[in-house]
Amino acid sequence: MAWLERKMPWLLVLPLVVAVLALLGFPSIYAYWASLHRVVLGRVHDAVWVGLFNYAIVLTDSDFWRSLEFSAIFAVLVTTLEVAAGLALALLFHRSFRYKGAAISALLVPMMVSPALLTIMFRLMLNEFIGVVPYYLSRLGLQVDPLSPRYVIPTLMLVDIFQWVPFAFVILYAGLQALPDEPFEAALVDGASRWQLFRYVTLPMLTPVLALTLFLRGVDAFKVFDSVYVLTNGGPGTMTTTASLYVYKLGFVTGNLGQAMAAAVILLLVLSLPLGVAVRYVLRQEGTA
Amino acid sequence: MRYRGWMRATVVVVVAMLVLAGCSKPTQQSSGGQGASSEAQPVTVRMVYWPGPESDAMQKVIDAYNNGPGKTDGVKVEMVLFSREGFWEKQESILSAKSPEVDLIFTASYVVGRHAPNLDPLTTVVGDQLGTFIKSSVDSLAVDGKAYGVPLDVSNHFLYYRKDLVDKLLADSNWQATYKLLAKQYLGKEVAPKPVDQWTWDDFLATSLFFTKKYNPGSATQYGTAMQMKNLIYNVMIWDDVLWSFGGHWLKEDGSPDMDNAATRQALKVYADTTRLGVTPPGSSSYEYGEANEAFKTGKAALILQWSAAYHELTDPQKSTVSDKVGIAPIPGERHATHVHALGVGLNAYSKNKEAAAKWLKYLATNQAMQAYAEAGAIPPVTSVLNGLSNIRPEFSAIAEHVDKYGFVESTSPNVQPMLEIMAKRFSAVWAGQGSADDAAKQVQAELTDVLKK
Repeated sequence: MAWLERKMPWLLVLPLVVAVLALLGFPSIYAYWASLHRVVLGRVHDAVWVGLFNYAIVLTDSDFWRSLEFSAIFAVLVTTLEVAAGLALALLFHRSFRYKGAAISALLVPMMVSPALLTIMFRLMLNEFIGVVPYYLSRLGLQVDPLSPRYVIPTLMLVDIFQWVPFAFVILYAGLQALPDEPFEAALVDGASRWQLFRYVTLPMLTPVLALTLFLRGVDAFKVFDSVYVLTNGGPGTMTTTASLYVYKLGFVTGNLGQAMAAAVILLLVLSLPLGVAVRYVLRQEGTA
Repeated sequence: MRYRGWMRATVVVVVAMLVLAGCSKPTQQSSGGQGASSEAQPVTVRMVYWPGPESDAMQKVIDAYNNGPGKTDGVKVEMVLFSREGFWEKQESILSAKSPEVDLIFTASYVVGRHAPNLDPLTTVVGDQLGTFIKSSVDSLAVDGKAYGVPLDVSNHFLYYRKDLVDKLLADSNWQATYKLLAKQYLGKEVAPKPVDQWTWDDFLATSLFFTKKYNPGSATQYGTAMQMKNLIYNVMIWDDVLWSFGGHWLKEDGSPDMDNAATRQALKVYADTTRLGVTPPGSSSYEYGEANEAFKTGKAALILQWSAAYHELTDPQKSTVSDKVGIAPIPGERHATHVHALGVGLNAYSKNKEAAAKWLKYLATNQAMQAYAEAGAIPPVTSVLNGLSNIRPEFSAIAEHVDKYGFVESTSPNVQPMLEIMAKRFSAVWAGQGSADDAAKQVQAELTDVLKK
């Protein structure tokens, strides 16, 4: 029994380790393996070794680069706007007022809805004939169809912003709540204005949380899939095709699983760059803390 | 140290549960076994189905079978519904894993080629009973001459039009004068109103102009039409009617692509013209089945090219403001053409209940089962059933006629979906006025060549 007691901690974490290996390890290894083979959906057992051919196909595909470019621009713009709006809301809520709890709960609702479901709701609300948005826009004298090619990209961004500003708000609000009072009291004694308090006290102290929020939202926005899939399916043409949608269509619509895996591995490499920078930043912050 | 006792007990319980779970038998598969007598526990046949009106109707057929012939056959049928989002991908994952979890899988003309390697041919399973169905629908689920699916629902396209408005146009000389003027001014052609079943694409565009408020402030509808132009393979299937009407098709007789030609450019121009002229709403580039229906039902569009399944909804007084004003006609063109595809079920090659599944398939391929299916709202490709119900479902006889007279099946090869995807990607840009027809035709030709080479 002494042996069992010694090994007990390992035995207790074993199920989790097995689950992680099965759910993350195996698919990852399979993805690398499939990226080096010609694997066709429906005949995955007939894989043929092709070396780096799938990578060459993906890297020479202009649609892949276009999807990468669209995802990057989309991620940068929506992340910036979401974090800015989240910060503004966090500052607004960083004080006492009546019904604050209820207001925060209401603010978080969009984040709780599944992205695909929320986009279906937007698809109805934006419909030119039955939607409330075009109706009120027309009442204001604005003949705008939010889903026309001219406005479809800003519309997709607004849907993402609507859903994920609450996420940025929650993290930044928690960060604000955790800040110590002393630096603020000292600054007030020194006669700092509200703007100076924000610029020279709040912002520097909140920077690690801001960086984390930017990173989490940035990676998530780069991978956006659901809303684009439901609203435009990447069109018109390839105008709104994101990197994730590109991989999905390559794998599941055209059936080229091998090429889709190669594209996914390339995306992982692309994303590992900001991931590495972020991890280094967080570790540095921990070291200086 | 008491907690150690608890930890030990927990580990023992978890290990015991895992061992027991590993040793237990699956409950679904062999309860009763093959060829079980009617007194024994029936064999459960699990059939994947497409959720929606089709599955609602199928449930009634299943209930009738389970409570009737199923008892004698010793078979009980269960329907497995996957959501429509990613439906084919989920099912293909099951087939790729060679899983016997389901016995019958849902298939369609545009995916049967990909399913075929994992399905059993039905010729020996169902035999001559496939003759119950319209031949083109059986062919649309056949690959290399072998039938892989029992066709249960047939889909084709109609031109839906506002009967009240088009009838008035054919009778009112003032309307006709305005119509001719608009056609001359914006299409540069002499076009006069004519009966809908004689329409070419010029007539379609001229009528769309006439019923668009922008050109004709007196129009009862805001837009002449509402085209489905989202980057979606189902929208390419509708556009394919236009291509066929100009004499085009995807492949030459030798199997090589045939898209870089005048027919493709003409067909693309028809769609692009609706956008350029603004006779379809600006948001049409994100429209699919539901949006086109809404445009028509709310009385905002006078014409739509739409699936036959929409008739039921467009004429439903609870859902449509124009329910009593809906007309159906062949898809316009010098040569009327409608894409035809069938939805059906095929036998999973890895099923462990093939004998029981065959009994159910044979039952499905009877007039009795298809009559019940049609009465419950589905559209089975059985001429006698469709014609017999035309008093309660007026579109049924038109479906039987159009499928027979104008129907075409492009291909059932495993490459159908990749080919549709390429066309959706390239052509949806042209439809929305975001690309040139010439470039798209050349690009699609090159990409299809590439796909077929693989």
